[in-house]
This record gives sequence, structure tokens and C-alpha cells, in this order.
Amino acid sequence: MLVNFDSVGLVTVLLFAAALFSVGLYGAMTRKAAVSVLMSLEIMLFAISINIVALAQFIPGAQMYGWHFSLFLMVIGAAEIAIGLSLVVAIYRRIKTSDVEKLQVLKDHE
Amino acid sequence: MLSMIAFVVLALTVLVAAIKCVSSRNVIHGTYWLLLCAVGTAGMTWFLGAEYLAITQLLIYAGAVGILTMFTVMVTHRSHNTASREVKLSWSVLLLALGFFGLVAYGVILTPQLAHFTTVAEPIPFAEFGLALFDVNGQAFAFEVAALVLLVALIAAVWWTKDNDDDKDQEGDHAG
Amino acid sequence: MEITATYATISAVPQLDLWWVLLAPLFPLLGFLALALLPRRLRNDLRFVPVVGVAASLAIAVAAAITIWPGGPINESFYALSWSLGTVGSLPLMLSFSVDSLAVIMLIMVSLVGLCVQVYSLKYMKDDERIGWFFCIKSLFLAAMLAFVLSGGLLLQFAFWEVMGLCSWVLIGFWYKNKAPRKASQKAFLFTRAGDVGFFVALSAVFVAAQSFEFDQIFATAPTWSPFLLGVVAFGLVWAAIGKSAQFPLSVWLPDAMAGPTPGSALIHAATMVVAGVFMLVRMLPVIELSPAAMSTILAVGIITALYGALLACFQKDLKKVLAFSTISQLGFLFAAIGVGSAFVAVFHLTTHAFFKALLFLAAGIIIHVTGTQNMRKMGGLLKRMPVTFAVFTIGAFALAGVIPLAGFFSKDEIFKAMLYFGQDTGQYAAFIGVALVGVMTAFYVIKSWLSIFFGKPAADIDKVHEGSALELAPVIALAIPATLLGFAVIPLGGFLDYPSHWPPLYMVALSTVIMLTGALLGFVAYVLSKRNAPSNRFRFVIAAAEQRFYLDAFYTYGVVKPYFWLSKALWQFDERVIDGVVDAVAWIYQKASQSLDWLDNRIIDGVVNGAAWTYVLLTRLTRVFDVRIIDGIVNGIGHLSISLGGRLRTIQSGEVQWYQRLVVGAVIVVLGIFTILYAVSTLGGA
Repeated sequence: MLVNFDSVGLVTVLLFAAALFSVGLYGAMTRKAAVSVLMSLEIMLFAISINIVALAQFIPGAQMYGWHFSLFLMVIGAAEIAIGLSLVVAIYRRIKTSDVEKLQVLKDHE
Repeated sequence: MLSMIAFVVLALTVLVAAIKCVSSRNVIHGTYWLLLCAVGTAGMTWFLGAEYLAITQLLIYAGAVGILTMFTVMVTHRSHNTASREVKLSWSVLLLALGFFGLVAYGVILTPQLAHFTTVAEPIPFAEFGLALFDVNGQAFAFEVAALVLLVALIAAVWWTKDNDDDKDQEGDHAG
Repeated sequence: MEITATYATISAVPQLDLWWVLLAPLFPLLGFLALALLPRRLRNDLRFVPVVGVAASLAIAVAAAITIWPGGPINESFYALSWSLGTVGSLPLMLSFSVDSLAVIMLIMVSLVGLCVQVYSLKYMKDDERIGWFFCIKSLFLAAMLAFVLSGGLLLQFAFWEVMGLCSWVLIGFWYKNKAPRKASQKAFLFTRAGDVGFFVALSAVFVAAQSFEFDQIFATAPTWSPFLLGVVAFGLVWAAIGKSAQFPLSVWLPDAMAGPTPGSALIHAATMVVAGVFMLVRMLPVIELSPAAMSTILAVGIITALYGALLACFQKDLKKVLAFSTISQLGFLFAAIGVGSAFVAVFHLTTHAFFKALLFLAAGIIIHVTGTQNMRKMGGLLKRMPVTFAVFTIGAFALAGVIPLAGFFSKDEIFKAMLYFGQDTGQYAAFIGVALVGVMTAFYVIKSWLSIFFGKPAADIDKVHEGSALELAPVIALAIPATLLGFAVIPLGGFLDYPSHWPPLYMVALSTVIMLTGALLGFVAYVLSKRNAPSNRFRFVIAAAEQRFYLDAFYTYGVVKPYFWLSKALWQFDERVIDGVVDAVAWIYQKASQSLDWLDNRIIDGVVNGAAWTYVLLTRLTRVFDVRIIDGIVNGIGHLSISLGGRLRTIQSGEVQWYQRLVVGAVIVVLGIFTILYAVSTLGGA
């Protein structure tokens, strides 16, 4: 049996992380408010974080690297969210909305 | 051996919080659910035996990021009618997300080696972890780079949110 | 197996502990860092800090020159510092700095010109509200240039090369609220970027061929490289230098770069950054020399550029534009010198040119400031009003024209000599005639400009014109000293670079003086004629062509930019019209088909109904109902589906971020799915 129901193994945690990631993915693709999109990205980041911690804890010999990597990931995540949120504020200042569907500068215009 | 019951409770909390977060009509409510999700993630990390990381996650994700998100919501959604909006279930995107999950899950289950890992390691003592972080032959370089990245992000964030007059000029030029 | 970096070259020069030379780039960098993060007002008040920084660099450079006296061959380092960043595969990725005689000469030149320009800007830019930022960026530029010449490997050199490109972009667009500087900075950035592609390709090829970016290892292994890799490296580097040093055909950015502040032009677009390309070629000469085709290309490009620049400089009315085209032309000289393999000649002319061209730019800045115009036709009679500026400008101009005994005379003489003796039977006379023509034209435009600025009838508002301030004049005078005397240092300078240099032989002196005098005389005649009457119609088309810069800009506009737009617009229209059109057409056809089916149904089935007995009426009615409801329904349904599908497809191009996001995720899932299936198949097959 791959998923052991008596105790939690690596597979179980990885499946949970994949589910969490998919929830974040759904949110990032559907939400209209830019802040909500960023929050969905955060959820995806949580999933990755859980994934790495699980790999570090379960696989022998990977612990120290995994911890360092996880810490590094947190730093990157914090930097990403700081930039993202400041961009939202800057965009809001400029066009008075933060809806991603109203941001269509990539659309062709004559 | 990790208790299945504790895991299920934690996992359900996090998943429900995440689903509520991406589906709540009100952005501010979404922020609260995100906070719960972050706390649950930290709890999951603690549950996996990485206590130091759990505390750090609590500080950064639940503390700093949550507050930052809330501030942004406050700045950009001042009135209630912009803060809450219709949420429609998008079947095509749901299919994409489920497809992604299915593929990853299939991959995970398909890899038989992963099933062998069932026990977690003892947590690294704080002192040992801290020393390794500053060890020149260890991760000191990565640590420095991380610090630099944070600094640059900070400067960039301040730069973007700063209300400078130059922006208006450039906007005028774009129009012209 | 462990591979370590090996230093194959056994250095002929003594090994000294020169770690302190590496402080030379550090001081301007500190000047930049100290100011960059401050608020604007404080930064403006502290603008002297970068000046002190570059002065420290100059002191270090001079001390280094004294320490390593009497010098040594190019590329043989007295001191090298290298450390490993890690390994790429199994190869160590090294970064290193090294100090050789060439680097020291460049250090002195860059920091001296930099110091003069910085001091000059204290007064010249004092009314600008962002003066602090100006000093900051120039300090960063100086740090990058000093580190560039000290780099011991191609990778580090590339890094600083890019930093210089960035600084150049900022400085050209310094007054970014005006349209012209903004356009010019983008143009410069894109054109130098086009050159950087060559550098990048060369970098990759070097790492493949030499398995290292270090110069020592590159030179040691270069003779064993495959001809293909050698060609890629050589031509990549030549292309990079063409972009950076504004050579034909990537020369068009330099004249526009004059939209930036004059001290910036003097520092970056005349004296230092544009010679970075030449410096890099001199550094890599041991490799490029192995490819005769690359050498011939350099020579040809150099002579074409020299002719092109000089010819255009003859027709300019704008003082800064004359200097810009003259820079292009002189850089062509440097290329030509490298093309015949004379590294020393190139370095010598590079140094003297840096001094007298910086001098000319700074003096021109004073003139532009006090007269309020860049148009030389609106100047005139400035001699009595600004005698000191006249004196220094004359030194610079005569040095550029090659008047004995100024510095430009000696270095230009070396170039003439190198062309005459470089030993290819057919090419040498062509090359020599080319540079001689450039010499004539140089003297022509120099004398013509010089006369029209300082002599003749004064302009209307001459009373307002006054001499520049002491703080502006002091650095110009300081630059005039090397511009006058450096030529006499040809023998010690040659010795420093381990090159047997001689005094110019008498016949060369006579020859180059004749060339110079010819040009000067023609310039004088042209000046007198232009004062007497309007330019004759006979040469109108030449002047028109020259005003369009021989259509090189137009070539880029109509040959590259416009076609690109046309292409993208055509693709977009294809997308919009054809694909959507096909979808719509299919829908239309379906609709029409269903309508005609309906019509056929009505006619035929009705006909059958009319011809049949009344007992069949009920049955046929029922059949018709079936037709209309079901069959037409299906046909019409397909038509509607097509229309709505067309609408859906059109939204793919909507520009909405989340649509793109969904497409990306979909693509990822497809790729992931393929891999998963492959993996599953392989495990099942194995099991």
C-alpha cells in the first residue's frame, strides 16, 4: 500500500502539498483583484515550503540543506510579496484600480 | 511515527482556509483566511519536526506578510463595493488546477522510492543550525545573498510606492 | 578528477605585492555608494566626495606606475589576485584582477581625465537640481572603467563593460524630461547592446575552447583552438568592440549621445568608455592575431569609419557634433592600428586622443555655456573675449589636426608609419592613402571650426560673452599639459610597454606636416569662401547627404526598425484577419449550409408532400417537424458553436494577464503529462 493510513509518510505530505498548490493555482488564475492574486501566490508558496520541509525531514541526510533552503525560500517569498504588494499600490496610484482584468497594456492597440 | 489524526486535522484546516481564501467574495475576509492558512502551514512544519522553521514561518508568513497584505487591501480597497465582488466558479480553470493536481499526485504515487520514507529526523538543535548558517564553508554565502535580495526588494518596494512627481511627467509623455 | 586553474605563462616580469592597486576602482565605487542612497539635497551638498575618490585613484595609479617602472610587456602581470566562485560542472569559475603595464597606463589616463572632468563639473553643472546624481553616476562609471582595465579575465571584463553601458545610458538620458536625450539614450543602449551580443557569443565560445575565462589560460591555449571556435571568438569580440567604440556600421549612436551633459560626453563618449572596445581588442590581441580574417576586418572597419567620421565632421554646423564625428573618426584610427597588429601605436594614440579630446569637449562646454548656442555659425570673434579658452582650445584643436610638436602629431605619425610598413604588398598603400585622406580632412574641419569660432565678425550679443570661471578653466589647462607634452614621451612610453619606439624619422615628419598643411589650407579657403558667399549649389547634394549622415540612420530606420514594425503588424493582422476570418468564415458557411439545407428540405419534402396522397400528409408533416427541429437544430447548432468558438479564440489575444497565465499552466500540464506518461511507460517497460 502506497499511502499508509497508520502513520504519516512522505507520500501523504507531498499529496497534501500538491493539493494546496492546486488551490493556490486556481486562485491565481481566477481572482480579479490583484491583491487576491498575490494571496493565491502566497498559498502556492506555503505549499512549496511544506514540500521542502517534508523532503528535508523525511529523507536521511537532506535535513541541513533542506532547512537552509527552506529559510532561503522564505526570504525570497517575503521579497516577492513585498515587491508584489508595492506594485499593486503603484498600479492603483496610476490607474485607480487594482483589477488585473483592467490591466490590458499587452493588448494590441493602434 | 507521526499521528495521522493530527495530520488530518492540520491538513484539513489549511486546505479549507486556502479554499475559503481563494473563494471569498470579500478581499478582507480572504486576508483573514490567508492568515489562518499561514498559521496552519507553520503548524504543519512544526508537526514535521522542524521547530525552528515553524517559528520563522509564523513570524514571516503569518506576521509580516499578513500585515503587509492587510495594509495593501486597506490602501487599494477603501470602499466596500470594491472590496467585495462576485465570485464565479470557473470550470475550465478548475479543470486545469485538478489536472495539475492529478498529474503531480500520479507522479508522486508512481515513484515507489518515496514510499520508503516514513520516519522524520530529529530536529537540528538551534545552535548547530545557527552556526551552520554563518559558517564560511557552509551557507554563509547564501545567507549573504539572501540578505542582499531582501535589501534590494526593500529598496524596490519603497521606490515603487514612493509618490514621485516624475511619474506624472512620464505619463503625460506617454499620452503625447 | 580535479581540475585546477593553471597559469601556463611564466611571467618575465618581477612579481610584486601590488594589492593596493586594486583600491583604485574601490575609491570611486565608495564615492558612488556613499552618495547614491542619500536624499537629493544632501547628495547635492556632498558632491565633492566622488571628486576626492577619483583623486585618490589617480594617486594610486601614479604610485603603481612608479613601482612597476620600467614596465613590461602587455599582458604580463606584475600582480594577480584571483578567487574561485565555485565550479561549473568540473571547471572552476575564477574571477581575477591583474596589474600589467597596459592596465597602469589606462589607470593613469582614466583617473586623470576623470578627475579633470569631475572638477570641471563642479562649476559647470552647479545649477542643475540633480547635480549630486550626476556625480554619483560618473563615479560609478569611473569605478567600472578602472575595474575593467584591471580585470584579469573576460567574464569580469564583461561585467564591468555592462556597468559602463548602464552608466552611459543614464548619462545620455540625464535630462530625461526632454524627448531628444531620452530617445538618444535608448538608441545608444540598443546599439551597444547589439554589440554586446557578440561579446556574449565570444564568451561562450571562449569557455568552451579554453575552459576558463582567465586571460593567462586563454592565451596559453589559444593556438590549439579549433579554427571555428577561434573565428567565433575573434569575430564576436570585434563585433562587440564595433558596438562599444561606435565603429561603422554601429556608429550612429555616438553623435546622438551628445544630447547628454557636456562633461559626461567628454568623459564617456570621447575619452574613456568608447575606448573600452579598443582596449579590449588590445588585451585580446594575442587571440585575435591568430585569425587573419578578423585582423583584416578590423583594419577595414577602422579605415572606413575614419573616413566616414571625418567626412561627416566636415559638414557639421554643431560644435559638439563636429567633436562627436571626430571621435568616431579617431576611434577608426585606433581600429586601423590594431588591424595591423600595432598594439603600442593604438594605446599611444588612445592616450593622447583621450587627453586632447577631453580638453576639446570641456573647452567647447565653456564656449557653449557663455554663448548659449552650439551652432558655430552663430559664434565668431570670441578670441578677444575669452583668450584663455582660445589658447587651450587651440592646443587641443592643433593636437587633433596633428601640428608639430603637440601630442597628436606624434601619435598620428606612428599610425601613418604603421600603415606604411605593415607589410602586405597590396593593402598597405590603400590603407596609407585612407589614413592620409583622413588626416587631410581632420585638419580641414579642425581649422574651419577653429576659425569660425574665434575669428571673423563677432556675433550680435558678443557683449554678454565672458571668460569661463577659474574652476572650469583649471582642469582644461591641466589637460592641456599632457596634450602638449605627451608626444615627447614616445620613447619612455614605448619602453614602459616593452615596445621599441623611435622618434619619427624626418621624412615622416615632412609627410605628415604636408598632409596637415594641405587640410589646413583647404579649411582656411573653405572658411573664407563661406564668409564671402553662400555655399555653392554644386555641392548641395553632398551636403544634403552628409546632413543625413550618409543615410546610415535612415538605413536603420527603414531597413530594420520599420520592417520590424511592418512584420509585427502584418503578423498581428494575419492573426486578427486571417485566423479570425477563417473561424468566422467557417461559421458563415455552416450557417449558409444549414439555411440551404432547410430550403431544400422545404422544397423537396413539400414537393413530395404535394404529390402524395392526403393519407400521407400527417406523416410528412411529422417528418418535417422532425427535420426542422432536430436536423436544422444540429446544423444551426454547429454554426453557433463555431461562432462562439471564434469569439473564444479571439480572447486568447485579449492582453489579459490571467488568460496568458491559464495558457502557460495548460502548457505546463501538457508537458508534465507527456513526461509522466513517458516515465510510466519506461517504468512499466522496465518492470
